[in-house]
Amino acid sequence: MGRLSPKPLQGSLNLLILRTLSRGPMHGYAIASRIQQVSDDVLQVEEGSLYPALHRMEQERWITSEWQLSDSKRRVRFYELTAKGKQLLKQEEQEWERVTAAIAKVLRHA
Amino acid sequence: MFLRKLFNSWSKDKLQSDVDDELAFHLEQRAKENRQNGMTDEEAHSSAYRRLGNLTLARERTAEADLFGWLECWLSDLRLSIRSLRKAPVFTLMTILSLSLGIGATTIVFTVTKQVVLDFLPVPQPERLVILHNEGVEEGHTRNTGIRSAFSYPLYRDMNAATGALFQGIVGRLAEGVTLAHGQESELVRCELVSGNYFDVLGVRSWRGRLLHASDDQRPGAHPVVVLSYGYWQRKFGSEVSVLGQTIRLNNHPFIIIGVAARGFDGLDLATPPAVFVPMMMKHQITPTWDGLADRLDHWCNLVARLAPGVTLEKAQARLNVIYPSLRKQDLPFIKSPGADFLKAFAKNHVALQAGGKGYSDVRETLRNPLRFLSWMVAILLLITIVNVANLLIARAASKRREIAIRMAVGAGKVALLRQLLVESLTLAALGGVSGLALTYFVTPVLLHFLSSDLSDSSIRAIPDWRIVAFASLVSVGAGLAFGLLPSWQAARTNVGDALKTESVSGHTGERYLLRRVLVASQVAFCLVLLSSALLFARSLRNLEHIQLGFDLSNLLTFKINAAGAGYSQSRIRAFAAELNQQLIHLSGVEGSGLVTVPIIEDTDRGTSITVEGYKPASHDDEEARLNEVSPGLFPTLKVPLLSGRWLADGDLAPNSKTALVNAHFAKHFFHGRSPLGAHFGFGSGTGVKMPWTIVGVVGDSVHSSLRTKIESYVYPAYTSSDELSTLTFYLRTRGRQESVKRDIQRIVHRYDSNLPVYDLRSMDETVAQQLFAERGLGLLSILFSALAILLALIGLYGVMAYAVARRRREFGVRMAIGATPRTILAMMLREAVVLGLIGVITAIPLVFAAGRAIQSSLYGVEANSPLLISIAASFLLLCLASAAFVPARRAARIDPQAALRSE
Repeated sequence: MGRLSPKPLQGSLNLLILRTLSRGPMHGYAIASRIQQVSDDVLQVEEGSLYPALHRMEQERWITSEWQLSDSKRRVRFYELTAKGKQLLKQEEQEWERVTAAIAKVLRHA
Repeated sequence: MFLRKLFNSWSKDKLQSDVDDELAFHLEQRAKENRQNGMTDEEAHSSAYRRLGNLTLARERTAEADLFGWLECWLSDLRLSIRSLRKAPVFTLMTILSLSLGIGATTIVFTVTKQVVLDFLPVPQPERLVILHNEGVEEGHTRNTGIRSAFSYPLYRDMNAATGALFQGIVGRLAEGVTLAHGQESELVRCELVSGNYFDVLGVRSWRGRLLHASDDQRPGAHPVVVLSYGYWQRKFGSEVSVLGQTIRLNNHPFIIIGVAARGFDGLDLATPPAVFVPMMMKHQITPTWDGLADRLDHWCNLVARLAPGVTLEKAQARLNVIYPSLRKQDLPFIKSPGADFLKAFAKNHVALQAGGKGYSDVRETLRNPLRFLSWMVAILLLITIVNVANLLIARAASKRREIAIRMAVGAGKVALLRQLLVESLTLAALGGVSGLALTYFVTPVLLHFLSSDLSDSSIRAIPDWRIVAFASLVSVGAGLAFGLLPSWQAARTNVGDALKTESVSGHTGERYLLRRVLVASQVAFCLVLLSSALLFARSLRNLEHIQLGFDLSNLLTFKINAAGAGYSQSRIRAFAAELNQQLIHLSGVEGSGLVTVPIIEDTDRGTSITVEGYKPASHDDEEARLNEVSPGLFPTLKVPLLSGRWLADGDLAPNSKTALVNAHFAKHFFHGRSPLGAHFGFGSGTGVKMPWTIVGVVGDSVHSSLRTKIESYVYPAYTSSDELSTLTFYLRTRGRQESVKRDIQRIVHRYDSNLPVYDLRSMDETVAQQLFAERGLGLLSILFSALAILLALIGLYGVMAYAVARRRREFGVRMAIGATPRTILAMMLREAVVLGLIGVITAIPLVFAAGRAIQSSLYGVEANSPLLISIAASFLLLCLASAAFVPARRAARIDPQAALRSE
């Protein structure tokens, strides 16, 4: 079966990460699990892209990271939203809703 | 944060290991969950890996995101800066121009100053070296070659032996020219005759082969070995190691090359880097006409010592004061019939120790003051540059204020904004620094050339010191930032809303405008200091150039031949001189020819004690006269007038002839208006001096050793009476073009003996120019620097005025609406500029006087604090300011009042 686009909803990974982090600091694995769990396994984060995305977002100052020690005394990197990230999330959410609503409209009526 | 990033970018390993840790944790968690879902250990593990995909790729992409994200930030800032600088080409060009001029000038002058005045000799612990100066009266010959440190060789040996506790050793040296022949070629090179302990005491290492040691300096004439300087070895022998062990000929004597001295070591005198070092015991071969190794009354050896460990200069001086008189007592038996006055003065002879870590330098002495003034001038120029850059940046900030405010309103971080401003300033600094550096490369050799012909082939290098470049760039931009960008950032931060409104008459712009006016006024003040000093130097140079020489400079050609260096005996030199002189006179284009033993205006002279019939000297100094042996044709050729008596004639060249000319100063000093013709005199002082010489004529006074020295008493015997003939200097009066005469001279001498190099063949104008090198350089450069300073100040003033006109458009509109004419507006603006200038001028007056006092001693025939010169400088400056203000002022006068009022 052919596909219209190899990766539907491309670019939405950032938005998903931001939204997930808005609940509080998390490490990368938790972010991936959380997205999968909440979406009832529909959305599986491509793990090879997750970490580059996180690091890029950190460079953009949307999120910050901190090394902490886990219960098993391992170094774990936790990510957290910045004020800038929160602001961006708000904008992007609105934009997302606007666009998806528009697409839904088109799919229904056109 | 910044530093950590910077650190990360250098330690990629650390960054990678962080990423590895993170990914490993992820894999572990995934495997754990897989196991909880019922997989085996192995399955859980491999499934976790599969889900992550290509692990290496993930690692790299994650690490790259860190590194490039950061670089990206700065690169985008850089791109943004370049774009915004390109959008303001006038500002960018002005700033870069100001920076490059300021940085370039500073670098050039300090680079040269550092090497000439500040740098130590390239030897271990140079600060432990001391120069020995011979202070007091001497009998016999004193040969100072620019360095007032001449001791007799026997005295040197005695002193070296007696001061073992004070010094690790005293080294003796004498700089001499020597004819060096290798294969078919021969040339005149500089040679340093050195004592055997020279290299060991100084601590110079060999580059190739070995250097001289005490064992190479034992018996006269027994050590035909030579050490090459690195520079000469490289230039002449192409750094060929095979020349070691080969034979070269110095003054036609064979010498074996035994080694090359350390790279960078160019002897003890900055201005005269030697090509070869020769043992002192070979002195007779190097200076065939005079030996002096055993003569206690021949003072020629320059001494430098290295203090023994734990001995201070003061302690050495104190001990030497005790030892020295007893050493000097050995000279007394050799002094013929000394007078009581002389003995009293002689007992007070002493050695003055002076820090010698920088070596000798005549050049250093003559250039110290000019370079010091130039350093001050460029320091002021750098200040003006800083002020100018600050001024430009303030204007820039004013225009960027809205942009900054807008960017902040849309959420740009303060840090990001500041970083962008920083990047922009650093970009400007880098561009200014690079173009300043380029300027340095091209201009430094020119500066060296201007300051001194000696420096052109000295060991001074034109390579700018990077520390100086860095300093100048940082200072200019640092100050620029402090003045310009920080206030703008602060203003934007505190008052976003205000800044967003169109140019309102807010307090900030007013303050900044005042600051800019203050900056311009200070520029004017600095300019006046530079300009008035420059005028003084120029005036002084003019005086020197128009000094009464006492002879006619036009169409005068000169050259030298070192016949003794080619191994000629005294009688052969006399014959050669007579024949050459004869042939020169008959050349076409030559009107007259003459020769002397001491060249004119080349900073050398020879003194002698003299006893004149019927003259009672007031003191020992009073029995001195200068001496120069001449040919009969010399004075007619130079066009020095004969005041009484007759010229020397060919008959006076006879072997036993004892006739001489004297100059007018001599006649006046020793005869007080009586006629000196026919009077007798003799060389030497004290009782019982024979007086075989007769004065046959009196010639006019003329300058001798240098343009600045006062006219002294001169006596001119025939050159044939000298038994120390070595270098002869010829003077020819020519007609028409000198080029063909120059070729003819070379041809005649070469035909006579191809081993005789003709050197210093040039017009007398060039000799005078060489005398004035330092003054001319100082004059030209100070004028140049003032011009630059004025240019910068005018740029600054223009900027301020243009800004004021733009800001006060509305005000002018109102004024014109209520009846002001364009003329009154123009006059008002010009008045403001001139008032600004006057404030600067008045502030500068004390500085100008201080500068004048500082340079007074270096001026010739000018009063430093001349009110006339200062007023000329001030008026000129004000005139320049008024012209720079004219363009913006006219723009103000042409404002259409209706449009101006409507626009806001």
